[in-house]
Order: sequence, then C-alpha cells, then structure tokens
Amino acid sequence: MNRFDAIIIGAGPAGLTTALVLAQAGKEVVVLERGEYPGSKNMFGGVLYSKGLHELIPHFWDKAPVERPVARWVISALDKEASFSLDYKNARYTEAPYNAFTVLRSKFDSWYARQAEAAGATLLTETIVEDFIYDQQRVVGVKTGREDGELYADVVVAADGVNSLAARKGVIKKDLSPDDVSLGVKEILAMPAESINRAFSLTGNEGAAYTFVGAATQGIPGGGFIYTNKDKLSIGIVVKLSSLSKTGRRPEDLLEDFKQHPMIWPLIKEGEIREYLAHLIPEGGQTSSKSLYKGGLLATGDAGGFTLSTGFRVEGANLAIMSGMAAAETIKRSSRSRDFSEKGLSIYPDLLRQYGVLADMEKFRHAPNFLKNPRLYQSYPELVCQISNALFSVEPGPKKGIGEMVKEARKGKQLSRFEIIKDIYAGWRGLA
Amino acid sequence: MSINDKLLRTRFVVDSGTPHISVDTALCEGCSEKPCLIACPVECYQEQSNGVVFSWENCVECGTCRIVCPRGAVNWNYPRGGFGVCFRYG
Repeated sequence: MNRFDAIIIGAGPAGLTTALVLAQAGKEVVVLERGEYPGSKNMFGGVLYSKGLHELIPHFWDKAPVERPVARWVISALDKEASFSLDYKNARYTEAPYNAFTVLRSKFDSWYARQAEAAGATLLTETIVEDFIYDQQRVVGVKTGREDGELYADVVVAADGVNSLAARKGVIKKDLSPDDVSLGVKEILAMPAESINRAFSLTGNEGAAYTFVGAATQGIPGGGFIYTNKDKLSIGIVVKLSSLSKTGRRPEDLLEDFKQHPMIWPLIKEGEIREYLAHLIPEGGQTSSKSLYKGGLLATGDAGGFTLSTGFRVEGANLAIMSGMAAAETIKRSSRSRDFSEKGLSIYPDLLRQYGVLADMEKFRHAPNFLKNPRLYQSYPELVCQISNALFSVEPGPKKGIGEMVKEARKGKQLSRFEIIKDIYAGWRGLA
Repeated sequence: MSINDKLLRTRFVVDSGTPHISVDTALCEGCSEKPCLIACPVECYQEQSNGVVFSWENCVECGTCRIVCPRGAVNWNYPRGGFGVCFRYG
C-alpha cells in the first residue's frame, strides 16, 4: 500500500505530534524519518516546556524519558572574569504539572515515536524524502530514496526541521539567509548526579537551566547555556550566523573558550565529553502566514520557523508540538470537506494562533529586532559587571556614588545616555 | 581537545558511496570572504595551496555551509536514509 491520509516528513516533536493526533482520529498516517531512529539527527539546547505536551499526553512525565524538572533558572551577564546573575528558584517547579524539563532528544524522540505508533501511525526510519510529487501545482505525495518509494496522500506535512526540503526547493517560502538563523554547537558531558547537584546547588532530581550573555560568545549576538540532565550536562553556545562569519572566530573555539571561562569551568570540570553536536536554529522572527502552507502541504515546527526567544525564555520544541496539533486539526477539518487545496488548508494560520504558536510570535514580534542589538552582547554585560565591581570592592581614595560608577563604566563603550534610554525602550517594546 | 578528538565521541554511519555534499570549488576562487572556513562547526572546509578543499567525513548535517556560502557553490543534500551522523544523546 502506498496511499495514506497523511505523509509526515520528520520524526521530531512537530511531526510526531501531527501523527499522534491524526492516528488517534483514525487516520492512516506514515512518518518518514531519515535517521536510524527518531532523534538520531535531532538536537536542541535542552529544555522542553511542559504545557503543550501535557495537553496531549496528560502527566507525560510519569512515562516519558525526561531528565530533570527545571527548578532553578539563572541568567548571567558574563565579563572576562566576572559574572552578574539573576537567579530564580521555585519549589513549585518540581511538582506536577511542572514548568519544564531537561531532555535528551534521542531518548525522548524515540519514546514519542512509540506513542504515535501505539496510536496507529506507521513509522519508516532510514527513509529520505528526495522530492515532492505534484498534480497541477498541488502536492500529492513524496518520492523517497527507497526502491519504488513513491508515496501518495491527501496531504503532506513538512516537519523536517530547519533545513526543510520545502524551503530548499522553494515550495512554500524563500530559503533561509545567514540573518535568519543561529548556529548552536553543544557538548554532552557525563558527570555523576551528586557532582552535578553540588556544582549547581541542587537537591535530589531538581534541574537547573543556566544561560549566559556577553563573554559567553565574545560579544557575538547569541549566548551560552548549561542544562543539567540526570547524570549529564548539556553545554553549548548559540551564535547568529551572519555575525559569526564576520568575526573570524570558529564556533568550536568559542565553545571551548566558554568552557574554559573562570565562571564556567568550576561548574563543569568533572564532566567528560560524550558527544559533540551542531545544529541550526531558525530565528527569522515572525513568519509570514502565507509561507506556512500551499495546496496539499503544511509546514510545522522548525520547518515553519516556529521558535521564540525573549532572552528569558527560549522556546522551540513546545512550539513544534503545538504547531503539530494545529496541523493535525487543520487536516481533520479539511478531510471533512475533502478539500486539501490551498484554500482548503487556509485555516492553518488561524489554528496556529488558537494553539498559541502564532499568537505568541506575533505578541513578541519586536523581540527578535531588540535581541539583534549588538550592545546587549558586549557593552551591557561589561557595564553591569563593572558597576558590580565598583559596588562590591573597597579601593583606596574617596568612595564613588552610583552615578559616578555608571559614568565610569560607560567610558569607552560608546554608550550615551540617549542610547541607553533608547535600548530600554526597545527592550520594553520587545518584551512587555 | 581538537575537533577531531571531540568527534571521536560522536557516532557516524559512514556511507562509502557518493558524498551527500559537493562543492563547486571553481566558484570559491573568486570568493573573498570564504565564510565556510570559519562557520562550519566541524572544520569540513580547509584552505590549502590549491584553494578550498571540502571533506565530508565529519559532517554533522547542520546546513551552515549551505546557508553561509555567498556563491551558491555548495550542492547540499542529506546523506542516504540511515547514513550520516547518528546522535546518541542529542
């Protein structure tokens, strides 16, 4: 049989959600995964917010291979040898319904695929999609790398990540440019649970999520992160691709320097490297609704460009899950009217809004622009660290007032009062 | 630790057949920026006396070179199904 109700390209959170929901509704769905197993090609920073998945699989944390519930969120401005941190801990985050978990994707995605299979979806691993099959402009199937590997369906879901075939072939949107993506490089470090708890001030199975700006990426827009898993750390940096290639610094060297930073090394020194990974992150900001679907085709997850960073929260996997729900709902409605044309699928952006994906991205539409500001990654982290130094140290001579401290710290940074006020306004506009 | 040492920890299912990425290095000759040399996180692109040399063995399939190349010299595809990088943790 080579005909299905829906073909889903990619066994990640977006595609598997679509598959699970459609299979539960009795649809014949096939998920095509190019890797040896689901998750084998997938990487993210390390945190999955619970909300989307909890709606679909209530109390998923009792069954899913999650690592630790995140109890501590730490954001730090990093200077060459100092850091200034915001440290938030909440005891409720370690109780159901939890806020977020650290996750290792190969285990998690494999588990999630088994849930979709148990609901009736077919999973074909080691299967690459080479092209779409069209009938008068409408996508009606895919050509896979397998022998006689043409599959047909009412609708195809592109859940194939940031390098989506749909983007590469220019089917639904223009391809990405270096300004639209960040590069993440990451290492998995094995470290005994007790050592992790000691280094990150945690007890039991509590987890921590640390993010860093400033010296973490040596002033390049982006940041560094450390997430605690059960007995492993996920450590990495994310850098804007357009800025990276201009600086002449290699991403793997930036990560090594980040690891060696005097504020970072004590946290990770007992860790032993188990894996080195790299992946792109779509960060184009607001996605135009028109580029999310065409006749017979929907784009979900990273393929649709659904990520959201406000500096505090960095969301991707949960938006992938919610966009998968919206795609499944779109397909259910289209099958009632038997209309999978572009017009028939045009309810998709509205459903994305209802499921909170586009609504959040639209609400924070000014955040990507605000977060492009180079001063956030160099001048301001240095500024807060230098002011802190002035506040906490005792030096010879008369003491300075805060105004003088700020003025002195601003020196050589080309930070006029006007610019600071402008940036605060942009920050408020972006995040409020 | 060098990138090659680090990549010893990353699992690959090597396809000895056709490389999944090919680079038209003739186009690289006129390229002044060569961002691929910097941006590829696994150092697949090296500059040698005869110009840019691409080797695909370390490729983790991130797509950076595809997007960063200003000349469109990178013919980028995924490896065949089941081949290429295989993350054990992710």
